[in-house]
Amino acid sequence: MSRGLEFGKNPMSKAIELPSPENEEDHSIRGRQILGRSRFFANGRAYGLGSQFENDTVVRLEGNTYGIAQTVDGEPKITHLFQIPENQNQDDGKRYFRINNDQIFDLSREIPSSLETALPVVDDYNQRLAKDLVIESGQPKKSLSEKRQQAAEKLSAYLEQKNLVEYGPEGEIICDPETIAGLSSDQLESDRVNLPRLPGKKNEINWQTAALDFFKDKLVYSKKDWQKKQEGEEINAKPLFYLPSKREAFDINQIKKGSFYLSFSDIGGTWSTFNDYCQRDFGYSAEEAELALKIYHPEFGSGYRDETGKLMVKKSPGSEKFMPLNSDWITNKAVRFRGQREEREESGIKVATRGKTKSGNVIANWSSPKKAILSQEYDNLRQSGILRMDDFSQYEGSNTSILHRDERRITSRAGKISISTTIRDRNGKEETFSPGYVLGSRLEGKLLVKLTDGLYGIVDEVQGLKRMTHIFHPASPEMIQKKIEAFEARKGRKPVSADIFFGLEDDNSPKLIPFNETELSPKRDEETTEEYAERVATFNAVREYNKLEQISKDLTEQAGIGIHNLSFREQNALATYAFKSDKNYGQAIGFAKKFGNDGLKTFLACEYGLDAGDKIIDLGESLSSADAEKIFAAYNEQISQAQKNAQEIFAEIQQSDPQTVISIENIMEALTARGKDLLIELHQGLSQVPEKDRSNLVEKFLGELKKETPDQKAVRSQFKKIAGVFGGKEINLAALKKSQTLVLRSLENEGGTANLLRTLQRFDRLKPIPEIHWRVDRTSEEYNRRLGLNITDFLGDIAPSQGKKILLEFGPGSGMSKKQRFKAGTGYKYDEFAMADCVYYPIEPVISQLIDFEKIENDLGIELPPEEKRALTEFIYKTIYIKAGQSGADQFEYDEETIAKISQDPNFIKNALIADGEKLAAADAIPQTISSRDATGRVIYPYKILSGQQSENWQKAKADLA
Amino acid sequence: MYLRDDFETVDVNELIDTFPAGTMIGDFGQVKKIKPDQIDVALGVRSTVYLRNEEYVNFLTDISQALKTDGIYIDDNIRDNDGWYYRIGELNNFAELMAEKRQRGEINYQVDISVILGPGFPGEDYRQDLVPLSLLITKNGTYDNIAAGHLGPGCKIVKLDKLVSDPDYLSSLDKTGHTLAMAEYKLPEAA
Repeated sequence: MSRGLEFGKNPMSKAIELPSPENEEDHSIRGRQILGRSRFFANGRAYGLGSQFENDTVVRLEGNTYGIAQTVDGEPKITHLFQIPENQNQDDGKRYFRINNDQIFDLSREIPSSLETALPVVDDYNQRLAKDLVIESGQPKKSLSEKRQQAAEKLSAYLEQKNLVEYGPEGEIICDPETIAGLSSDQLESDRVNLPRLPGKKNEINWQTAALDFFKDKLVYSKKDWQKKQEGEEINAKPLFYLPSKREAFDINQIKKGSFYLSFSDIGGTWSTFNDYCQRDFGYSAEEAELALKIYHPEFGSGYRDETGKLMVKKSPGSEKFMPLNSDWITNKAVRFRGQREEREESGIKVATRGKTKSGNVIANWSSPKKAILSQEYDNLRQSGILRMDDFSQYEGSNTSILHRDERRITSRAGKISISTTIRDRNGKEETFSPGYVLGSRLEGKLLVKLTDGLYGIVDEVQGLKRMTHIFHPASPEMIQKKIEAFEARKGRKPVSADIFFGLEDDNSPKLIPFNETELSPKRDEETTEEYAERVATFNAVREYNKLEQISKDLTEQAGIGIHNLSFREQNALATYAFKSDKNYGQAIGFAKKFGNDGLKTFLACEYGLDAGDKIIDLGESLSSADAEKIFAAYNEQISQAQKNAQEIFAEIQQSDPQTVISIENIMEALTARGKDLLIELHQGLSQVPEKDRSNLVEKFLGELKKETPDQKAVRSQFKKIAGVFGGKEINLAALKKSQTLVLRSLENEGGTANLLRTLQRFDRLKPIPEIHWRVDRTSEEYNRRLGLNITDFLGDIAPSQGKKILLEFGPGSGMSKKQRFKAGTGYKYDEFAMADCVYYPIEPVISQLIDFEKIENDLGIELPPEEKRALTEFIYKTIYIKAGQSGADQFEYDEETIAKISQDPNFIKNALIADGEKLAAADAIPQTISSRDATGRVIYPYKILSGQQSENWQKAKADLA
Repeated sequence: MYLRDDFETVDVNELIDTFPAGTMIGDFGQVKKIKPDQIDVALGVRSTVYLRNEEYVNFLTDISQALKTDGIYIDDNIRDNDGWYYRIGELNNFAELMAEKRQRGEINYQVDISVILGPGFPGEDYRQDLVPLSLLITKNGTYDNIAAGHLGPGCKIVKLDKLVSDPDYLSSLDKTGHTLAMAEYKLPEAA
């Protein structure tokens, strides 16, 4: 049997003419229509499916596996699978079986493996379904379109009967728009007009659909217009309803040309009725078409964008005055939806306002246009550019939330805006107060944006490019409280928010400051003017506000984060990093999803170079989430404590040096930089350890950070800043003086030097003496001999009487002479800098401090004079450095592995001391420090220190130490 | 082994005797990055002796640029390691280069170059009585008089041109005559 098919659920379904089996071989797919109560018949039994499948079609695929075919995008395809349980195939006498929803599987989701064998059959069927499906049971039904046509005809008959539609002598349609718009289901019911039911549904086709269908593509005259035409006026017929195509609905020129009697908001009914209708027939939502109409059509808002991009609308109908569009314009001038809400005709601008029902169903979006513009229902408005996010704004109050940045168009002519602030009354009770700020008429139409807590910006827009022009800090709670008290004293009553406002001319009022990055991101001491200018030009995501706006929106939508909760500098650094490349942008969004704002704050480190951002992303990917979160939390703690710690350190410095050149800002900068160093150094450290040791390394870094005093943290970063200064383009030594002052101060404290050495070690710039003939700890006395000049005295003689000179030393080794000069007092007359590839230190003094000579002497009952102790430690040091058995040779190989490990961590000297006892025992000779060259120019060590030439006590001690 | 009681826990960083304050990590070639007219005193002892020929002259040029007016550079790099050679020739090349640059209007300062002579180091220098120990380069001035008051035993201070014009002395400084040969050789002008 071959029969036409209709897919009842989807109005786009179509009847399919199948080939006649008499004329050709039948390859048809045999399907069974699911009937009322969701039943279908197979093998003489009835099977019940969920009501959502009513009027769809069941197809047997293989064995007891069945598919349900539905119409998707106009084409029938199998969308669900289910199986009839095998025991139900047996003849157990039952005639009806229920297939529960959990036994029916949606093919767009995961399906059980038992059904996977049917997938190839599904594919095959889907290819053939449109042309080959045969319905073997069930009754053919009329298509929805046929029913709609029937409903339209029935409604038109009713309208004619009621004289709401009449015809002119040449067939002109003359109707009564107002009365038609005011029809209701109740009225039709009382007049016994029964429109056809929807296929398979209990509900009738609604009268609005019937009316729209009937009048679609017809031009009509209203009775009034027809009368005028009869009186000789030139009146043209026009559509009764505004039913544009999708292209026309979102083309401003087409909207403005629109000619009609009624728009959707004039007609009784729910928005879902019109949304469904338009979505089905035109591919847009009725709401967005209506909103565009109300804003741009000359009978309504007559909207246009001014030269700055602001969307201007008529203040009221008939008015020649325009104002920037805002939510007020929509909500306050709206005609409430007919039949559901109070109608207000006074403004003549008819816009529906919608809200949410108690059950949460959206029945309207316009009551919150700012949210509506984000919704899917308004996709066409956004994509066409007819409306933009910032076109909606509220005049009154701040609508900042944890997710959304407060962004408002300043609509007052005086540039007045209000900003909510939490204040405390005399009893300590908190309340929100929203004083006004009169920023001046030149700001009318500009965008006000909250940059961060206590900081707002003014954004100007020219041809879509948004630029931050001004900033201002709203009044503090204390300032507001004072105003409130003054008001109370003057008026004898408590003020409301509208009573309190600040003018720019008020003495104690926030000032509007021209936006300048230098206000919010000051120049660092070590930066040259050019470098600072380059940094400011690079970190421009706030100035070029489109960038900040874009990433704010994406992070809100994709990661559920409001980055206005970060500081200005954090936002600027993050956005700048993200906009460096598409890759960065995607990575930053992904990072935000994983680590939220706590993670994003770390991007502040990008102020020291955008590559810090790459390292942060890397940390997020290479560390476990727990470890990464610990590090980011430690960073944030470091930054959040910076101000408090800076004040404490500054107070200490000031106490010891009232004339100090150091400022709190310098110290804060130093503490902030320590946070950055934590991330950078950890990133570098991770590359040097296997994956299994990463957690340990994280703990080590955190432990070290925890142990540091705030003072040490500040010093460490400044030391590193000086150390890394050659990474810049141009070195301004004078700019490093403050940093150097902080560092020198710390060296007088216990642990100060070790703190700096750990920093050098982190970036592999602390090294033990590389070769035996090197001298890295020359004293001032040796300097004098080498130079032929008493350098300390000479420097003293040419020192300035006031201030300090700058001294630069090349390759100071361990800095022994520098230290002596500093102690001799030149430190007060010179800012001493040094240039070197590394800081080198000798091994011998370290070993001598690790050995307990007193214990040796006591245990062995001997006494070792200082020179013998020195000789002993020299023996130990050189046997550690030279490969076993070679210490007596003129030419020898270094124990590179041991030296490398000591280079990596000086604490390895302890391991070497313990491990190299045998080397020491076996060594009878070591080279002296003085080297020479052989005939081929190679370095040789012909001079030796022989064990046998040492004292008996010395030899005993050596044997015991080994 | 006889180790201190807290051997296990002591951090060796605490035991290292250094004075790293103000250390800028970089190779000496980067000295050209220092803004001009910044340094009052530059100093080197056994650190820059690895710079030779044009590289050495370039370095001196860069340092001169970085010196303030009246700034002074003192270094013992005039004497090579082991005292086998003295860079009188390179220093003279530098002096001539500075004079030419000044003549061409490329620089607006002049350099004064003096050398401190003093006793050689036993086992290292060929001559033991009086060898070049260090150089003093002053920008737009001289500190010879002040330095003369702080010279080591057996030392004296002389102008470079006086040394250069004394081939007998130069030839006596090393076994090979390399110092004299270099003093008479003009290096290609530094880049």
